[in-house]
Amino acid sequence: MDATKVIGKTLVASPERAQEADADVEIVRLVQAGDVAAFDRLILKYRERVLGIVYHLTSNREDAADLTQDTFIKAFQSINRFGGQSSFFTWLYRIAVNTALSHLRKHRLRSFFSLEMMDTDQPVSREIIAALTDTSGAERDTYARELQEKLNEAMQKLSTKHRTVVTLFEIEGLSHQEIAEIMDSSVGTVRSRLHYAKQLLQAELQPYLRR
Amino acid sequence: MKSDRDKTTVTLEDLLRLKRAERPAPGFWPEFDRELRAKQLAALVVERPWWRTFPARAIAGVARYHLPMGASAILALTFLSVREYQTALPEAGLATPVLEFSTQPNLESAGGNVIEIASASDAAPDVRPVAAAAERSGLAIGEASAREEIRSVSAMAALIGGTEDSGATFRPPARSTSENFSAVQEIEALFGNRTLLAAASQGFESRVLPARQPVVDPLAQMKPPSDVRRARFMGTAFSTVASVKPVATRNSERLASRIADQRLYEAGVSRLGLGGDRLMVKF
Repeated sequence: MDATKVIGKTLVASPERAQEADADVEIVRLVQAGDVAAFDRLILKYRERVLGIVYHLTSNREDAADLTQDTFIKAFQSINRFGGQSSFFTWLYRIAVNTALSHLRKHRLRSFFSLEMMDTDQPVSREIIAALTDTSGAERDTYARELQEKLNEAMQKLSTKHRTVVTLFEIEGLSHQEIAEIMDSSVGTVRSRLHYAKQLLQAELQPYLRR
Repeated sequence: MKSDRDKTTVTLEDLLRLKRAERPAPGFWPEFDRELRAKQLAALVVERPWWRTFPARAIAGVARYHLPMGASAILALTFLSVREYQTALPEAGLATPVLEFSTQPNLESAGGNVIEIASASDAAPDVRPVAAAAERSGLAIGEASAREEIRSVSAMAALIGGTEDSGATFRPPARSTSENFSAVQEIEALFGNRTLLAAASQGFESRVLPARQPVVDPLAQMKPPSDVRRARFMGTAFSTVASVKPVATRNSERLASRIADQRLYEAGVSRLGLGGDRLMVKF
C-alpha cells in the first residue's frame, strides 16, 4: 500500500471534526436501527455543504439541487452498508462527488451555466471586490457578476478531477488527506492535481489578478 | 485578511474564495426539503424486480384493450358474415332457374309418364309415378346436365328442321318462360307429337300458376267411418315410411289392405271408451 494513499481510514483533522464525526456515527446508528427521522438531522447538517460541492462542480443550480437530493437518497438507501471505517461526512462527500461526476459524464455535451447570486455583502467578497475595482453601487455589482462568470468559465475548463480537487480544497476547505479519501486516491495525486489546476486557472484569470 | 495584505494584491485563492459567496435564493431550502421528502418516501417503497412485475403489467396492459379487442372481433365477424352472405346471394339466384329448367327436359325424357303430368293437377293418385320418375331422373340435377339436355333437343330440332339455328331458340326458362314455351310449341309442330307438347303445356300451367282447387261436391268428400279410422291409425306409419322409401310405402299399403275393417272396428271399440264428456283411447 502506498504510504501516501489513505483508503478506508477515518481522517480527522481537528478535535472539532472528531466530535462531529462521533455525533454523526451516533445518528447513523439510530437510522440503521430504524429511526428514519434521525436521518433528517444529517440532512439539515450537511445539505448546504453537499449542495456547494455539487454546485461548484456543475455550475448549474437546478442540476445541483437535484443531484444533492439524489445524494441524500443514495446515502439513505445505503446507510446500512456504512460501517464506520471513515467519517460520515467523508462517506457522504464521496457519494456527492461520484453522483456529480457521473452526471457530468452523462451530460458532457449539455453543459450551461445557471449560477446562484453572489452575496457581495459578505465581508470577504466585499473586500476582494473592492480591491479589484474602485466602482460602487450598480457598477460594482455588475463587475462582481462578470467576475463570477469568468471564474465559473475557468473552472469548467478544468477536467472533472482537477475541478474536484480545487473545489474541495480551495472552496470547501478540506485537507489533502480528506480529499484523497473522498476521491479514492493518494495525497500526492491530490497535491499534484491541485498544483496543475491552479496553473490553469491562473492563466485563465490573469486579467483579474493583481500582484 | 484584507488589512493584513496589500490592497492591490488579489490572488487566485482570493478569487476562488469569492465562490463561497454564491448562495441559493431565500426560498430555495423549503422547496428543496419538500422535494427531498417526496423522493425519500418513494425510496422507502422497495421496488420489485422487473421479472416479477412483468406478468402483472402485461396482463394489465392486455386488460386495458379487452373492450376494443372484443368490439373489433365482433365487427370483423359481422363484416365477414355480411360478405359471405352477399357472395352467396347470386349463387342462390342462379339455382332457381337451373332447377326449373332441368325439370322440363327430364319430364320429357320420362317417356309415357309425361302424359301423367298433365293429369297430375286433376287427379291426386296419379302423382306418385310421376314423382317417382322425377326423383329417379334427379330433381337436383346440375346446370351441366341441363345444358346437355338443351343441346340434345336442339340437335334433334336441327335434324328435323334442317337448320342449325333452331337450337338457338332454346333458352333457360329463367330468362323468359314464355319464349321457351313458344319454342316447345314449334318443336311440337316439327315432331308432330301433340301428346307430348300438350302434356308439357298443361304441366307448365300447373307449375307456374298456383293450383286452383276444383269445385267438388261436399258430399263426395265424405268418407265412410272405417276409412277415417284406418287413416287415423295408419297415418303416422304411412307418413314416415312412405316419405323415405317407395318400397316401404308399398309394403305399408299391402299391410294396411290386409287389415280388415271389422278387425279395426273391434279393436277400436275395445280401446275407446266414453267417460262423461271425455273420450278415452287406450294404447
